[in-house]
Amino acid sequence: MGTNLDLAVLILYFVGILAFGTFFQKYTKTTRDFFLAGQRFSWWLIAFSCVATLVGSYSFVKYSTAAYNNGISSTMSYLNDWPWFALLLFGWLPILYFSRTVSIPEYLERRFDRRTRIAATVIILIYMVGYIGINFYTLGVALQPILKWRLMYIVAVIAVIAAIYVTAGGQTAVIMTDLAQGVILLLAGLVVFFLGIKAVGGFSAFWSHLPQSQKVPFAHPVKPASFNAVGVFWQDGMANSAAFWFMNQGIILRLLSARSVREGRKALVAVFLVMMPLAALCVCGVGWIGRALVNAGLLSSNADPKNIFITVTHFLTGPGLFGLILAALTAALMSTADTLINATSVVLVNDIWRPLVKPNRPDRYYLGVARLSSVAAAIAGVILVPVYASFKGIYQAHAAFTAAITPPMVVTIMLGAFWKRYTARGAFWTLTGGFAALLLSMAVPVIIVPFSHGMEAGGTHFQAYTYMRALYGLVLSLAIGISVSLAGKRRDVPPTLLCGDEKRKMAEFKGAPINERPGARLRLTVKTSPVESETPVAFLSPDSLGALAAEPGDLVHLGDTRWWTGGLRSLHARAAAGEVQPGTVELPESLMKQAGIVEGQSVHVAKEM
Amino acid sequence: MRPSDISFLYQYIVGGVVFFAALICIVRSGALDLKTHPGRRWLFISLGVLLFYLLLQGLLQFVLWRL
Repeated sequence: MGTNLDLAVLILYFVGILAFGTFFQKYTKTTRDFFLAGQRFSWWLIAFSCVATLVGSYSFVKYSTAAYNNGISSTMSYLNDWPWFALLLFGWLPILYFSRTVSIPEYLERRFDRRTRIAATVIILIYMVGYIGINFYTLGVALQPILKWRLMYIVAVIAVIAAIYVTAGGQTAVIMTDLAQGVILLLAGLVVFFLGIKAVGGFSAFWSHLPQSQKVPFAHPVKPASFNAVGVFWQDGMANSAAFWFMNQGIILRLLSARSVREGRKALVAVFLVMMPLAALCVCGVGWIGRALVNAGLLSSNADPKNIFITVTHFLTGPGLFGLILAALTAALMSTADTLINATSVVLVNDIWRPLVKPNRPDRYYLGVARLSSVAAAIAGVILVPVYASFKGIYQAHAAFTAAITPPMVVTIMLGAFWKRYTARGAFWTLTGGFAALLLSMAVPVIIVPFSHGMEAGGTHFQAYTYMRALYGLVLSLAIGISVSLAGKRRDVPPTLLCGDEKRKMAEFKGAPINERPGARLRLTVKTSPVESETPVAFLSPDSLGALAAEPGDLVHLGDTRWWTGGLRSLHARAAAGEVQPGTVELPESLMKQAGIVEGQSVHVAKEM
Repeated sequence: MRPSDISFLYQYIVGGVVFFAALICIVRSGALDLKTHPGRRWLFISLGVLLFYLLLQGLLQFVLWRL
């Protein structure tokens, strides 16, 4: 499978994507600066960057298989996130944004205590190592038909390359290349889908070649145990979707990089209304095409469902394009694995090793620990591969893993953000007790039966009640959290860490009462201020302040007038009155450098609060 | 009624309960102030998202499969 041209394209792609990553590494100073302190990107850039996280690189292989086996109902996982929409937009996003929280362990320590943070960190580490394993496994499955090696050999080679790459690559570069690759993969999915429609003989022919039972968006409620609607609803719609939107570090960083909470909300509306359905079509489409091709007699019915993405792509694309799609898939899988390995070592060192095991050591020591923990994370991921390989498909393997890990975290975050009465003791016991209950359900799966809706076990231990373990875990974690909290004493909670009055959160974020008077958006020319300042400050003329309806000390946003820069060249600052020429704004040189704004440039200035 | 119709109803009844319970909590907490124009607009958008998925999946579930 594949030609020399495909190989050449594959190599060129890797070189190109590395060059792209290097460009952004040079362009930005630090990850924190780029993604958090800046908080400056436009909604459409956030929405596009969510594609990289939304369409996880393993998604194509995983969902193509599910789509080939189950038809349109394979989209259930992408179309069942809507119950969380309101909580995310009006509850969680303002908490994260205005409290300046950058990670879930940090939020849990501020909301509860240190030991809750540690318990959450351990669960998050397991969650990330599990994701590393699923990435390795998916990449191994994708490359097996081409390399024709044994799965574990491919996984071992991938793990070694990824571990080496982690030490060389930077987080910003990885995220930007993820963004590029997410878009390329989406386009690749659409191209292969439409090539398939053409090959089958048009949309009517494609639709008629799908079995009647595969044309509906929902599977049977409880059958078979390996894929059913009620199971997917609880495992994916409730537990995994909540985990994805509320605790996935990639999503948190992307939402925090928005220029404002309003821009973050606009991005999420675009993601829910456009990106999610589009992503569902892209990742599942190849599987549907595969089924239609087989039923039309154009593709062998012996095609392995696990490899259907590669088989169909190879069948439909010519030399060169096949290499490009394969390269995009491989590179995306590699960079996702790199990101996860990197993140795992960061969490291990910053949240466990540095504060608890060996505090107050020189930075070189922690760097060594980080490198060793990267290798350990890669090895742990490899060890999980045979466990995943024992499942019927990647979809089931991934579902079993998320259902077994996410429920206690989801319940802790939800109760923490939305229930004032929830105590630190309740949160700690939700995490530890919920996780222990899930472990117990693997040893004694029969305890899931009351939650199973009459579903068959479908396996033993970890593989039993793959989906319904999520409902069991959610109910038990909720019961533990609520009962322990009600038995304990009430405690005051900072309002910024709870869902509630947004204006109060804004005032605390600003450090002063907010200014809600409506003002104009001005187009001003930037000049370098003779005054340097450690805090971001923008000097404006009295006329400009009047037009903006801003007072000195109010937060203003300054951004490049070219909309397509997406906020890359922009900044937040506090307004200050100064002897400034009308039509201009003066900024300290260091601030201009940080924002990539130059002297004489036109910027839009608007008051924020 | 087909088994997948039951699945459709199950998701929209249970999911709907979660969605509206969340919305009520948010309004009661003051996070979404319905006395203001932006608050009412965001409520409308939230309901629009629910309606979008209901129509999209309803169309596939009850209409397009017949074609």
